[in-house]
Amino acid sequence: MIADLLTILKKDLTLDLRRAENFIAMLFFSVIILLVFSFSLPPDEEAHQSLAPGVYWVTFLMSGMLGLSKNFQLEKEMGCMEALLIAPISRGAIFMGKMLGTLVFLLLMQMILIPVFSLLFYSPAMGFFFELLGLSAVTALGFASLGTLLSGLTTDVRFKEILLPILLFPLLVPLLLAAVQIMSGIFAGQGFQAELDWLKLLVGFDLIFLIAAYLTFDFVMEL
Amino acid sequence: MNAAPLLQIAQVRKDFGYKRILKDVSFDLNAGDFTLLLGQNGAGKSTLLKILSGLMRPSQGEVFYRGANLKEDPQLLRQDLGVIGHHPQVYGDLSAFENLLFFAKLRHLKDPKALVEDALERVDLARFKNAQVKNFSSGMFKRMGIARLMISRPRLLLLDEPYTGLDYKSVDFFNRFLVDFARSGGAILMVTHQLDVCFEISSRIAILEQGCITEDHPRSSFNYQELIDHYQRATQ
Repeated sequence: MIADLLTILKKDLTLDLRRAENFIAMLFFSVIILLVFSFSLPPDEEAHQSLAPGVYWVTFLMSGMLGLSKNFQLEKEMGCMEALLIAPISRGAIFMGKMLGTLVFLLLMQMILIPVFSLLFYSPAMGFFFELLGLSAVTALGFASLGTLLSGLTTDVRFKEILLPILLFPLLVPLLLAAVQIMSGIFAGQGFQAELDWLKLLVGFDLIFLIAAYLTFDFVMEL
Repeated sequence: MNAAPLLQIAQVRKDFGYKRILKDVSFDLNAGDFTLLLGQNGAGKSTLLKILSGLMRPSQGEVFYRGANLKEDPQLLRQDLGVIGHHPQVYGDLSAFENLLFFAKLRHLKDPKALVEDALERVDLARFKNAQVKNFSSGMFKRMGIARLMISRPRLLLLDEPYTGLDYKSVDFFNRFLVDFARSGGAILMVTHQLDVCFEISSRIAILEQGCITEDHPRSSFNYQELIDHYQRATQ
C-alpha cells in the first residue's frame, strides 16, 4: 500500500509542478485576501495582532479550497479516475496519495504566506516561523483529510464548487477555532503549552477524520 | 463437464432514481469468449460495463468473477481486468511513457520500464514516448489504451467502443491482439457499433434492449448481413 500511495503522490506532485499556474493562482489569491484584510483593519499594531490569527486561518481556508477543487478535477478530465479505481490497489491508497498531495501543496503555500502575513500584519510570525509551520502541518492534515473525502464525494455532482464549501466549512469549525487559539498562544510567546487542550482537539480532529476518510473512501467513490 | 464461467452476472438490476436502466440481466462470460454486446443508444450497455468493472454497484443482483462475489472480493477482478472506455484515461500533462509507467507501477509489474518501452513500440508510439499526451489525437489515445492493456496482461477485457478514432492499420493490429488474447484463454466483452470491423473475429453476439438481454447467439449463427438484418428487426 505504501508503494501505491507513493506512486500516486509522485504523479500528483509531478502534475502540480507542470501545472504551476494552479499554485501561483492560489498564492495570488491568498496574498490578495491578506491585502484586503490588511487595508480594511485600523492601522494600529494592537488591532492587527489581535485579529491576525483569525485573518490568517480564514485565508488558509479560502485558498485551500482552490487546492482541493483541483484535486479530483485532474482525475476527471480524461477519465483517469476510472482507471485508478479499477487498478488492483486499495482505495485507501488512492485516498492517502491524494490527501498527501494536497497536504504538500498546502504546506508549500504556507511557507510562502507566513513571511507575507508577517509583513502585512505587524505580527511576530517570522519569529515563530517553525512553530507556525508545525501548526500549519497539523491543521492542514485535518483540512486535507476531510477535504479530500468530500472533494471525492462531490466530484460528479452538479454545482460542486458551491456544494463542497457548504459541506466542508461547518465541519471545519472546530479545526479553525483550535488553530486560531493556538496561534494566539504562539504569538503571546507561550508556545503550544498554553493551549494544550486546543492542540488535543486539533490532533483528535486529524485522527478522527483521517481514519474515517480512509475507511469510507471506498464507498464514497462508488456510485 | 463445462468449466465454471469466468464472469457470471446474476439478475443484475440498476435503477437511477425512478428510472430502471437494467432489468434483471443474467449473463455468463467464459474463458475464450469474444462477445459483442450490441444495443441502441441508452440501452444500458455502458452501465452494464461499469457494473462489471466494479465502478458501479448494482441496485440488485450479483456479479461473480472466478466464483467470487465482486462485492466481497473486488481485488480478484481488478487484478485481471483491462478496460477501454469512453475516455482516454490518461493525464494530459504527463508523457506517454510516464502515463503507462504510472499504471504499470500500480499493477506491481516486474521491470515496468521495459514493459512500457515494448508496448509503446508495438502500438507505434515509441517516437512520441516523451511527448505530453494532451496533444495526442483520439486515435493515439486509443493506441495508448491498447498499450495499457498489453502491459497489464489482463484475463478479462471490457471494451466500450474501442475502435473509435483508430485508423485501418491500428484496427488490424488491435484485432490481431484481441484474437490472440481470446485464443490464450482471455474473455472479451465488447460494446461496439462498428460491427464491420469485428464481426468476423468475434465468437458470440448478445443484444441488450431496454435493459434486458434479448438475444444471445454464437456468432456462427449468422453471416454479417443476416446479423445486420436481425439486429435491425430486433431493435425496431
